[in-house]
Amino acid sequence: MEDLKRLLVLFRNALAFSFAWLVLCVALVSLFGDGNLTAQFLLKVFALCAWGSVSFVFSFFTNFMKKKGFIFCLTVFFLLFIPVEVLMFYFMGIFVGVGTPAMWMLLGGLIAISYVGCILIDVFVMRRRAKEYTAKLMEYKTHTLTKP
Amino acid sequence: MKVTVKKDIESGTLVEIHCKEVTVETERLQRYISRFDERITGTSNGQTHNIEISRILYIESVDKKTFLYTSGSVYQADKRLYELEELLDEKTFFRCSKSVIVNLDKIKSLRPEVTRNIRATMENDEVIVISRRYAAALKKLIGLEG
Repeated sequence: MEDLKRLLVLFRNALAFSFAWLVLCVALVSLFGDGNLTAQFLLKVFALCAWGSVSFVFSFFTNFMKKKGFIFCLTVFFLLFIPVEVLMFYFMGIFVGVGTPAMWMLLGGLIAISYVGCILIDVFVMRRRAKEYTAKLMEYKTHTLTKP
Repeated sequence: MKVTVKKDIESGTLVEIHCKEVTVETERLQRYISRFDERITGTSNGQTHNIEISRILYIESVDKKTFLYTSGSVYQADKRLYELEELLDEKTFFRCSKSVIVNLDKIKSLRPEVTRNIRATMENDEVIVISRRYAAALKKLIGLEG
């Protein structure tokens, strides 16, 4: 019960944060663009933020997922969120126009780079540190715990 | 260190430490001996058990109830988490999050995460997350920092 309450609070915070930022961005774009901003469009943005927040909270904050490690959580988050994000962007008409292929590639590229970056950090930095941490713990156990 | 065993009392076991002065090592030896056979009471399936402290993998508080985890069994303790924390040896049992105390002696490996949490794999392959709030204290304890 306590855990569910904590997750709901996290969901509320994530939704408020993401929706506020996106509304600001959309308002700025519309201000310097054609000046059109419909309630229907904002509802779609809200739905996207809500799904993003659900995916985020599920992937990174549930007890089950936390035990799986960061890369696993990130992969699950991407799998849950990206297909919906792409679909929503399509329905919202964000990537419609002359620059469409380039914009889609930019989006894909950003996601791929951040994902690959995380995997590289995990493989080259965290695995090395894990060995160091484990060795230190074993040393601690030998000197402090097992032998008085 | 010289160890001698004498059979000169009627019942039980009496351990005395003789030394020139009390050092950190002597205190550690005293702590080790006094906690050698310490147990915690826990219930499982309506039965009360005296669980050897050395068998405990970790202790978790869920909805104001305290659970003791050993490899293969879960017991409900009659004490609160903070009471057990005070009772247990702080060098062996480490508070790793708001609701969990882990037995460092039962950790098989540690894995730091990008998020600054540390994942601890226990002897029974269960994973415990050491939250970033407590990770610094663990690093200090095992000598990784400072």
